Amino acid sequence: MPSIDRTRVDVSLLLEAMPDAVVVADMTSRIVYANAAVEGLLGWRPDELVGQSLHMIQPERLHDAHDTGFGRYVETGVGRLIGSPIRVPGRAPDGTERDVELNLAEIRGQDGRRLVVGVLRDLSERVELERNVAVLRYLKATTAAAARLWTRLDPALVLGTLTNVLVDDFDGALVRTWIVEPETGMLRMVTSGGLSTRVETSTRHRIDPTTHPSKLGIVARSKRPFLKNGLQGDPEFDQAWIEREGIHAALCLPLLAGDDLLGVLVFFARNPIFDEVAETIGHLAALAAAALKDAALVAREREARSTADRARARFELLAAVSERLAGSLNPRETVERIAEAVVPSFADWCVVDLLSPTGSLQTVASAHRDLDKVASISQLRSRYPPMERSSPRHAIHRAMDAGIPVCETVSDSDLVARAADADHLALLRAVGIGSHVVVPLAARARTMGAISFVRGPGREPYDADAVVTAVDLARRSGLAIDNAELYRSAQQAILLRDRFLAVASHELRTPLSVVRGHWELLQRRAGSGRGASSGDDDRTATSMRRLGEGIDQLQRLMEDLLDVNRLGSGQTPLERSAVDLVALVRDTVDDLGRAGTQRVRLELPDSPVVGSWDAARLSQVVGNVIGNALKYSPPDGLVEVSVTDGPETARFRVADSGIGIPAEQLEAIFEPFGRAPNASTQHYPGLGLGLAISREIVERLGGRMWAESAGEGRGSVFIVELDQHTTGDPTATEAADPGDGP
Amino acid sequence: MILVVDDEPALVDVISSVLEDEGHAVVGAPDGLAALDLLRSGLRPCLTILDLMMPRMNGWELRDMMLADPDLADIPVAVVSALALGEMRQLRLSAVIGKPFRLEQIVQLADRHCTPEDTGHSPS
Repeated sequence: MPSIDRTRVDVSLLLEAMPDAVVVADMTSRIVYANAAVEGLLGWRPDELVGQSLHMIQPERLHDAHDTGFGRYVETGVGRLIGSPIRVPGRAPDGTERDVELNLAEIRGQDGRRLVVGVLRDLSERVELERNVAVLRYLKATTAAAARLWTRLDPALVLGTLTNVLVDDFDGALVRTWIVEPETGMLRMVTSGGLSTRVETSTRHRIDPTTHPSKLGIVARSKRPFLKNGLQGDPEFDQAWIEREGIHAALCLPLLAGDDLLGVLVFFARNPIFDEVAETIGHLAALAAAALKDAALVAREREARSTADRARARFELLAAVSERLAGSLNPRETVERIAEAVVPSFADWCVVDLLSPTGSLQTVASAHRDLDKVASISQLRSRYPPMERSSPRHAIHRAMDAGIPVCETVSDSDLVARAADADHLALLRAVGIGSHVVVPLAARARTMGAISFVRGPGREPYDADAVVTAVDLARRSGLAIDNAELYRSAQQAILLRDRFLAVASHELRTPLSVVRGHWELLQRRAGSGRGASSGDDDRTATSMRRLGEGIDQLQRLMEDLLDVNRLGSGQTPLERSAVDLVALVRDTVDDLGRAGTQRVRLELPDSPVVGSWDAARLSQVVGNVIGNALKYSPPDGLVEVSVTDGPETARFRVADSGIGIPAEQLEAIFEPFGRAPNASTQHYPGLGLGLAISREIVERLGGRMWAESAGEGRGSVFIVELDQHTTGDPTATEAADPGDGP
Repeated sequence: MILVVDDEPALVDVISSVLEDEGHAVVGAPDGLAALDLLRSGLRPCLTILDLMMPRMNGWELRDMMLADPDLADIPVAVVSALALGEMRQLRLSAVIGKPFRLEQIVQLADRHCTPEDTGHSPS
C-alpha cells in the first residue's frame, strides 16, 4: 500500500471515523480496542469495553458457544465465522439485543501477537426492510398454500402440503407435522421436510403427548404456541445439531380445531423467526388444521358411505340368495343356487362340499365367474380332494372341525406349499386363489359340510366384514339345505306310506275275502240246513256271530286305510243327493247304540234337515264321530248327539264324557294316523284314520269339522257344520221331503 | 258251467262251493293261461268269474285274448278284484265286484247269466 505510506494516514483516526463499529480482541477474548461507533451501535463507551471480555457485548446464552468456537479457532486457526459476514445479536448495557452484521478477520499486532478484528454494522434498518419483504413473501405463500390445502382433503396430503410450503416458501430448515391418532390419543409423526424427510414408524416418531417432556409434548398439552429465537446454548435443544446445522429459531404450533388438538407443527429456521412471520405461519397452521378437520369429516363421511354401500351390497346379496333358496326344495338344486348366487359379486368362485352319509366329503355344487374354470374346480376336487390329514391342513377340515369360519389370504407360495404335485399347483393357479372364507354348513347342531368362497389374487381379499356376510350366507344355506333334505325325507315318507297303504289294503283284501267267503258259506249252509254244523248248537251260533263281527271290523279298518289313500288324492267322486241329516243320524245311532252300554241322548229337530250331500259318505262321518264318542267314554258315560238347523248350515254335534283331548292335540287328531297321546297310551283301538277321513269328506261336501275339549278327562265335543245350499238343486231337496208340508 | 279263475285256491273253493250249493257246475283255474287252455280246448262257460292280479297270465291279458278270439269274445266275464278299480270299459265286462265280496253278490251274478239246469251238462 504505497499510497498509505505516502500520506501517512493515522490508522487510529481512520478507525475512529468509520461509521461501522470496530472491536479488536486478543486470543483470550479480551477486548483491546473499540472505536467510537461502538457506542452508537451497542451503547457501550469504548473505555467501558477495553480490557473486558467479548462476553460483554454478547447475549449470555451465546457465551458457551463463543468460548467453544473461539477456543477451537485459537488452537487450530480454523474458524467458521472468519471471512464471511454473519448475523448475530449484540448486547447493549441494558441487556437488550441488537441485530448486527459481523465481519471477522485476524491481524498481527505490532508485538506480533494474534488479534481478531470484528467489524459490526447496524442491521436494524435492513432487518426491518427484510422483515417486510419476508412477511409479504410469506403472506403470498400462505395465500397460495391455502388453496392447495383444500385440493385433496386427505390428512396426510394436507400435512404434506403444509410441510412443503414451510420448507420451500418460509425457508424452514426442518419442518415436521405430527397428528393425533383419534383411536389412541397418541401423537404420530406424519411428515418431515427440509433437513430430514425420513418419517419412521419407530417409537421416537410416536409419542404420548400427555407425558412427553419435550417442547412437542408441552405444546400438545397446553395447546399454546412456542417460539424461540436464538437456540444456540439453549440446553433444551440438541446443541450439537443446532450448531452443525446453524439452526437459529424454533416455532412449535398446535393444530387446533376449536379446542380439539388435531396435531402439532414443528418449524426450525436458520434465521430468526420474527413475530409477524410466526403469526403468518400460525395462520397457515390454522388453515391446515381446518383442512385437516374437513379431511377427517370427509373421511368419516366417505367411510359412512362406503359402510352404507357395503351394507346395501350385503343386503342385496343376502336377499338374492334367500330368494333363490326359497324357490327350491331340492337339496342339490338348493346348493347349486347358492353357489351361483354369490358369484361374482361376493366370490370369484364358490364350492359347496357336503358330508355324505358315510362321512366323506362330496362336492355337490361349484360356480366360477369364468365358466371355463368350472371344469378346473371339478378336476381339482376329484383329483385332489380335501384330505382329512393333509399338511398343511385343508381349510375345509379346519373350519368343520372348529365349527367356525376360516378366513385367509393365500399367497402363491402357500399354493406351492399346498400342492401335491405340479398338476395340482397348475390347477390351483388356474382357478385362482387370493383369499378365501370357508364356513361350516350347519343346521340343528349338525355339521353338514362347508361352503368355500374364494377370491382370485387380483381382488381385494376378504376382511372381517366379508366374514360376517359369509357366515350369514352359510347359515341361510345350511337351513335351506336342511329344509330341502327334510322335505325330501318327508316326501319319501309320504310316498312310502301311500305305497304301503295301497299294497297293504290290496294284500289284505284277498285273505279277508277268503275268510269272509267261507264264513258266509257256513252261515248259508247252517241256515239252509245243508251245512256240516248244526244250527241247533247255540255255542256254534255265538261263535259264528263273533266271527262275523271280527270280519266286519277288519273290513272297516281296511276300508279306512284305502279311503285315506283315495281321499288324499281326491280320487273318489261324491255322489250328491238330497239327504235328511236327522234321519241319517237316527239310523246311525240305532245301528251303533245296540253295541255299547253307554247312554246316548238324542236331541233332534222335529222336521227334517235336508241338504245336498253324499248319503253314504255322510253316514260314514256320523258313524265315525258317534262311534268315537262311545269308544272313548266310560261304560256308564253319556253321549249327547244333536242336530240343529241354521239359516244356511246344518250342524251335527256329538259330546261325550270321555278321556278328552289335550288342547295342543285338537288339530293333530285330524291328521291321518294322528291320535291324541292319551288315546294311544290308554290302548284304545284304532289306526287314527277315522277323523282324517271324516274331515276330508266334510270339507269336500263344503263343510267344516272341528273338535273342542275342556282338557284331558273332561270329555270332547265334535262339531260338523254342513252347508245346506251347496248345489242349490231344489228338486233334490224336494225328493227327500217326506211330504208332510202344507 | 261257470269258470272261476283265481290264483287263490281258497277263493276258488268258496266261490265254487256256494255256486254248487245253488246248483251250478263250476270249473276252477289258477291263472289266465290255465283258463285259456280250458277255453281253447272247447270249454264254453255261461259265465267267467275272473281275478285280475295273477301269475303267468293275468286277468287283463286273458280278457284281451278272449276278446281277440271270436269264439270266446261273447262269453260273459265278471271281474272280482281287490284292486281299486279304474277304467275297465275296454274289457267289456258283465260286472265288477270288489273284494271282499258278499257271497250273495256271486250268487246273484250267476243267476243273471246261468240257469242251474244247464250247468253240469256242458256239451264238452
